[in-house]
Amino acid sequence: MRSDQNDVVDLVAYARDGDEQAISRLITIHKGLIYTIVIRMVSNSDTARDLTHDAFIRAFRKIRDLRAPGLFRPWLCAIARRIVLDHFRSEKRKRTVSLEEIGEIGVEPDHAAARRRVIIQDALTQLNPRDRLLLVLAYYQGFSHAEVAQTMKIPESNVRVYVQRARDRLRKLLKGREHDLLS
Amino acid sequence: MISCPESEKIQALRSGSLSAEEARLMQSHIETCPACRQELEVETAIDRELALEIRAPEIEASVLRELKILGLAEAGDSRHDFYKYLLYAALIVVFGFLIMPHLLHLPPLRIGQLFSPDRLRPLISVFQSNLPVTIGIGFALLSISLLFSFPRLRKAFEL
Repeated sequence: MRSDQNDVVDLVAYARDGDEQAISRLITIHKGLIYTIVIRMVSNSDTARDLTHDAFIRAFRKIRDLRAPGLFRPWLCAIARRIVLDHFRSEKRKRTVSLEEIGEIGVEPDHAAARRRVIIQDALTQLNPRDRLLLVLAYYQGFSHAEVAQTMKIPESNVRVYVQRARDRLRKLLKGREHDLLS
Repeated sequence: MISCPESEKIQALRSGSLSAEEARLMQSHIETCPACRQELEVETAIDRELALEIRAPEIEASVLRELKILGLAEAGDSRHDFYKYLLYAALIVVFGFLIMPHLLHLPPLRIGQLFSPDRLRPLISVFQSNLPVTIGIGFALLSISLLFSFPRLRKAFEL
């Protein structure tokens, strides 16, 4: 983990000088996280792809403004968050997502898993964007509370409580769907 | 779905906020309570789904292509360029006004006389008479500029 972090710091240094290999590697390392955040927010694979692309473009245009290369990941997530919120504003409406659209977020050979994904994504879209992003970040493997705080611009000491509240709201939205989730 | 008042504690159990004794009691309860067992399964399913990373499409090439079009992958940010050019300027001052006059055995430099015609005339004549040295110093400055300008070269020299 530590050496991965050092690698990212080195890559950021090279990316600042316009090194294409470093930029490409940084995208490869982080695109899963960014795409997961974005698609959880917008529930549409084409839009998610475009917004993920835009997030990386904006990040590498501003990479020299990043003062601490060790904070690249939360900084990138914050950019993705702003891109998604800008998208919501430009849409000027809260998206109502169809189940067909939600089904696009992953080709899942296991039908039970696919159904579970649709049900949970459907509930996620009913949460406000802040709660949705909190849950995606907090549950993302290896994402620390400090990184969640930096991305969301909230005190680290509040992360656990905010995440728990968001999680409780999600659970309430899933009331009555238990059988579908477990079948 | 059947319910149990104890199921409210499932989340607390999963997040580790129950005391050791409470957690032990809750674990024993779950073993005998179908409602709590089901609630635990539901919570586990939600957590598992939330922790999934969704596979991202290939975007590396398109991002690099757009950065190239924008000229940003190659060009630097103005703030960092400022420091880079400041360094070049400092090098030029050191070489041009300190080392080079010393090499060419010019009289000591006085700022007041720096741009006086009397001072520039012998300097130009020295440049003319020592053309290979002048070209050599210019080449050295250009080489240093290249080293700092191209990241791949800089990486190769581990600067």
